[in-house]
Amino acid sequence: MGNCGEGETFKISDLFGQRRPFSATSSIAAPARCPRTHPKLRRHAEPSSLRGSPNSISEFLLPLNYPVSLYGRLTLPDHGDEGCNCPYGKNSCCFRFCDGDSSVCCDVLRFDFSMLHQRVKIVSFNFLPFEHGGGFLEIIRWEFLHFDGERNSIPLWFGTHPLTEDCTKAKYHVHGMIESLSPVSSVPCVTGNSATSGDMVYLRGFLVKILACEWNLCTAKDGVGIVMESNGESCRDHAFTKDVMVYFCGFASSWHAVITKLVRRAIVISGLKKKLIHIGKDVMEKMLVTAENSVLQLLRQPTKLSWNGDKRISHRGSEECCNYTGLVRGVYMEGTVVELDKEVWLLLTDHQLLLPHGLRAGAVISVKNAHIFRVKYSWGKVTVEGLLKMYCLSKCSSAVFQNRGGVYVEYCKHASCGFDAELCPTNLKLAVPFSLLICHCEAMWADFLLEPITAGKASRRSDGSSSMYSRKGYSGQLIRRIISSNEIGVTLLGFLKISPSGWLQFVDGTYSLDVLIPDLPASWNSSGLCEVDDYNVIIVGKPDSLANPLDCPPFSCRSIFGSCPDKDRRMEFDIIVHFHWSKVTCRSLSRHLSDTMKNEHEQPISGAFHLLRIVHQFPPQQRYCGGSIAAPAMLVEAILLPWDLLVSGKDVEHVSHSAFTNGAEAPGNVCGNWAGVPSKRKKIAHGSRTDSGPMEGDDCSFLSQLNYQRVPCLLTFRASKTEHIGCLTLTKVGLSKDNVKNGIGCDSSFHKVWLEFKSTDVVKFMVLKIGGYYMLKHQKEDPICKHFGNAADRKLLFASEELLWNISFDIADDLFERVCNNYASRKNIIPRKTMMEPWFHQFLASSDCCAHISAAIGDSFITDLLSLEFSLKAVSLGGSFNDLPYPQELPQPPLSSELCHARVFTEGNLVSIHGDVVSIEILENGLGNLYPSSENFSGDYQEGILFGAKSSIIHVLTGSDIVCLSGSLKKQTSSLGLGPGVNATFLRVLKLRGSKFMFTPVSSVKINSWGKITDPCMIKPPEKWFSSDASFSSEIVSSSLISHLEEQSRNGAVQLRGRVTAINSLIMEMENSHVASNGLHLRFSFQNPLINIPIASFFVEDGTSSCLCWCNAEQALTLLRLYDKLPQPAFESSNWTLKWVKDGSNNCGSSAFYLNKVLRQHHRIVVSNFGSMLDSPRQDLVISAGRNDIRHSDEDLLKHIIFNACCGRAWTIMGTVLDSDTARELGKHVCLQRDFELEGIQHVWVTKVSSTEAHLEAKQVLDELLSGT
Amino acid sequence: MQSSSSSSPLSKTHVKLLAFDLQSLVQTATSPPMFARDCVPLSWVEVLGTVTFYDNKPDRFLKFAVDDGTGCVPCILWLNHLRSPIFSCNGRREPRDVQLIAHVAANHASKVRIGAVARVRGMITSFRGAMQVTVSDVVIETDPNTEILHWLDCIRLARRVYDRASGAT
Repeated sequence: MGNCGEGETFKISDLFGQRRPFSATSSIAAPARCPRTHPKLRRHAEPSSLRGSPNSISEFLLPLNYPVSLYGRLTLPDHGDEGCNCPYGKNSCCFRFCDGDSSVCCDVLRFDFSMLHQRVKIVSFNFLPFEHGGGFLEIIRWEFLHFDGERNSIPLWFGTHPLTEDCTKAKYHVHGMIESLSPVSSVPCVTGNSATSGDMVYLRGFLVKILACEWNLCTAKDGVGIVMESNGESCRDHAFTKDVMVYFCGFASSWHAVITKLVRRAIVISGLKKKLIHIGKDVMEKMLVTAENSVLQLLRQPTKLSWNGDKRISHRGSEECCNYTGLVRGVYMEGTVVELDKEVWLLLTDHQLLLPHGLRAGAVISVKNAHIFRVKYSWGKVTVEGLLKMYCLSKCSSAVFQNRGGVYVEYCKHASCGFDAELCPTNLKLAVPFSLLICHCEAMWADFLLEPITAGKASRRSDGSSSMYSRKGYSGQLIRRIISSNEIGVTLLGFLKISPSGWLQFVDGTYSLDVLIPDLPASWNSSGLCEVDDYNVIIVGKPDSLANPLDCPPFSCRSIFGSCPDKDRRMEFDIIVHFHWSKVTCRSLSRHLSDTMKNEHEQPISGAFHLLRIVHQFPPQQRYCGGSIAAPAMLVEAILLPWDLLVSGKDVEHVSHSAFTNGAEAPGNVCGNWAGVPSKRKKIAHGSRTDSGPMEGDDCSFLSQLNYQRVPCLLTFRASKTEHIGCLTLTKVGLSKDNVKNGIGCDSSFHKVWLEFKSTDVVKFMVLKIGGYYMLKHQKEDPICKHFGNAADRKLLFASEELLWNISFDIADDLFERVCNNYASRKNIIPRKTMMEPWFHQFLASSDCCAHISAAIGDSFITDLLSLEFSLKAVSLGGSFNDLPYPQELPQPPLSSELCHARVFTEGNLVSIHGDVVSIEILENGLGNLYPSSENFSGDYQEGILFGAKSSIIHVLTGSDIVCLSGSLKKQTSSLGLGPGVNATFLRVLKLRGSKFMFTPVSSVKINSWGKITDPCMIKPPEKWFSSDASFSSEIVSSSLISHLEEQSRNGAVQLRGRVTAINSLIMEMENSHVASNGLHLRFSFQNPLINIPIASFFVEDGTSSCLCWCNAEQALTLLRLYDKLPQPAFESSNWTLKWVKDGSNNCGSSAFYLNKVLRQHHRIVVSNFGSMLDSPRQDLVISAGRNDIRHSDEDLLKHIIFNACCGRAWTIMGTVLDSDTARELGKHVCLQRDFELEGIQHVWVTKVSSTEAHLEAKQVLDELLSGT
Repeated sequence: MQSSSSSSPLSKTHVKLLAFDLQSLVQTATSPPMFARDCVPLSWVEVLGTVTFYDNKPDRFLKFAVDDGTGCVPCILWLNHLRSPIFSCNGRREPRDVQLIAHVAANHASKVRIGAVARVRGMITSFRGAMQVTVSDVVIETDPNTEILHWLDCIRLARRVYDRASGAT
């Protein structure tokens, strides 16, 4: 105790005995507290992992609670000292502190020129032990033991023995300010003795750039100005403008630590030699070189500094070169990344830069001459600093990355290869580990779910997505959100590969993202690093799927450069990254891409091709072979067109273009222009497609016989960007029967084939698109040619060496009218407008090859194409399924017929449904899935939330109807991203009764567009609740009290008498029939208000309790009191004009009349009550309109209508009591806002509403009272 | 009482009471006071009767009383929505909504006339120790049978529900 405050003297050897960082700063901190805690006492308690971790030091820097002092001298490093035990060894540039027995690397705060080699007392310091012995001393406060007066100058050579150096030429001096200095480097050189022996020696040294004063007195050889300066006679201000390079070499290289401390200080170095230094091969620069008699003199800082250094700021605003001082928050990636003040990232990726030992968390460091980039990301602002040619993962082109030269070359040529270079990126981008991207998306997803949602003010995003789905209590259903790369603000950098499960994935070592690339070329291979800037992240999950958040923001420096989160942690939602191949930049992959194109270019497509139209892509089916699981079968169903495509090997430049541009010749005739091509006429026998066809050397002679059986075309290949001559010819099958007469293939000539892909061809299978056209080259052994003539309805094995090329058809504008007239006159089924519909243009999208066909001469082929599309339209197109001219049923697979006989499973036909997905609900119990697969029951979460579910229910809006699909879906590339709001085609689903469909193992999903998220509330409740023709009548239903409803049998009929106190949810829309058959809009009438209420729920009470009454249509209109006159204050409050109101008119003045007016503008309005369910004025009504923002006046009027409904008379309500499961089911279909409040409340489906007849009710109650019941 | 108040279904509905029954409710000395009928906590009430007293202070309140033959129930309908922070929930409710509620209240006030048969729903409160109803909404009944039906309803509900609820507690 008595020693408190007196202090204790440590030897350096005592420090080395410590294995834990400690701080001896009690002399400058609070008074020492007793008892003492000596670090030695804790030597064995420390975890070894703490050592060497720069981020943990600040947290575990053990403070000594008593003063400690050290005695010794501060010296410069001796590069010959092998005894230095710092990590840099004899290359260390640190100061050293010696106490006579031993020395330690150190750094000094408030460095004083005079302390060098003087005996000092260290009174406050930190000590950081190195992992392998030794340590680093941070000197915080020190004092002279014997102060000999301030020293202004010091010789660079401290040695006791003079060097054998000729100092006669060392007569130069420089007066200026130190701007910067290079790292210490060794260069080979030949000197005196070594020159004779021929041995090279390595000379250590570093370069110092000094901005010298050009004042005459300062540059004078006699140094008049310097003398005056040192004497304090500053006659004028200096102008430090001239760049002078000083080479500190040999013994002077040990001054690196001192010079570092003197950056931006005014100095004079005298006794310098002037030499011409070769830097690299071609660069020579005149420099001043230190000599034995060189003296460093420190000058007073000028009062007015004409400093040119600060002006060296880049002309680009986002980046500049300056100094920064800040607190180190963390050191990552072995010291290459330093976080300063949580907003500045210091990148120290240059391995030539020896980092100071004191660079640790908790230290305050000063960074000088750093390049600063101020980057604004969507998730925050970051300032990035780079020290002298620092590179980071950025959007640099390869040209930016120059070959590294030596330290001196780069230092001298810094301006040309550093930040001043035009090649330097103007916009830094950040590439993060995918696991962090997932965490960031999780955080955004959580924000999205938790943000206070008001339906009327739901944020409408530019991509059409909305936060409408995030309402509380809307659990069970999937919701979807699309997050663009602009919102995320990072670049994706990784490898594309095919997962063992057969999915395309984007991987980076921390995570594997499911990825969707619509335009992935079939020739893609999996080598190369891909960078994607423009992408979308699609998240599909449940509203209650909140993951455990990280303890720090995902995109913080600590998260990015520290340890990555567990990559195996389970996500509560599906994430798919969607981007286009055209947006992918391949770093180091330029070779790969060019090779691909090169191959395509070297092997121009020529020859004869089959044309296929993909009809269905079966989900991969697990197969069992000999008791073991074989690779899944990949099967594609396609239609074989009765047309072949012949491609000439000749470039189009060798053939006259006029043949394509002159469409005057009618089809069926020999086109003069084509015939005019100089050639030997060579007829191609029908059905001889297996021969080589029109190859090079044929001089396009196959074009000489152009008639209805041959359609010339111009082919453009996307990859090679070349154009070729092509010709579509009818196959033998197409020419059979009476097709020859018409010159077209008829429906009967479309043959179906099944192509089976090997497991090694998963990419070829994956890139196929249902509805796309593909060309398959004729080969002698190709499956179609092999079975030519009887290939139809066969399963053909697709050979690995074959390639399916996606082909699209570009038809001249005049085609439509012409073909329409011709075709319609013959078959009379193609309306003109349908050919303009998007589905027809789908196959005109970008593809590997585009065939340009003139309408004038391509009539026969186009007609066939249309015929095929129309034959498939009924099963693949949207519109009300009820409106299909005939229920398009696909041929029943054999399995179905067997099932039908068994009478066990559901019967039905396989159809395709096209429409907008309104909602998706996951059923955990697997109900509704008659075709479970083993994979589904495995619960493999890698399949995702949706596809890993045992069963799901999907509601799809087709035209004006909503259909319900249930069952389990297989994960396919084409179905990735399926969620509410997408426009999709569900292929081969089993049609059940009514509007119910079921997925089968062959069902698949094709997403057509991501579309807009529509209102979830458009789901209609199950049909059974809609029927107003209840199987009971009022005569047999006894009156009941709401508090006694619990005793009622479930789904039993009840009659209530009560008043509406509040609404819960309400959907109002314009009646579909408001447009009459003649196209005229019907007018509002009291009898027909043209208002449809698909679903509404009201809180009703009768004095004993409250219940939630569900209703729709007329019952909802009545409970809303839409037929009552709206009170006058409603108009005054909502500023509605009364121009429509006519006195005495029944039509006007009612709530229905005004609601009709509002609905005519918005068509669909959803109202939810977030407030009281008992006190009508305290309802918190949130109103959302379907199409656009609702006006305040309309909103107020709607609220008045609702308030009016809640302050009305008593109603006699008949309905059925819903059991809790049914009520919950119903609640999921609409926005049930407060399930927590509705615990225990009774639900009633209202079938009839009427005004209470008071006298009848009174009589009934009186009878009841008199009877004593 | 507090705990039972939150769990009792009758505290979450407008109980139908005759005036004498309402006047006989027991109120606690707490602030705000709580009300109970035979130990059954009640919060909301519906009364029906002839308006016998009317005192309108524009933009402040409307005081009126309804007489159902068994007693007189003082009622207060607040009209100071645009002045009092209570109705704006201390700024959490949008001014437009406050204005709308004010208009609705004004509409209710405009319907109250001496001699009219009014069905009043509201919260049970007390003023200077006397029971009163803070009005949520007012419906003017034109069918005289509704008054009879209300009496019978009050008797029936008291017998079948309210009394039994007190027995249960």
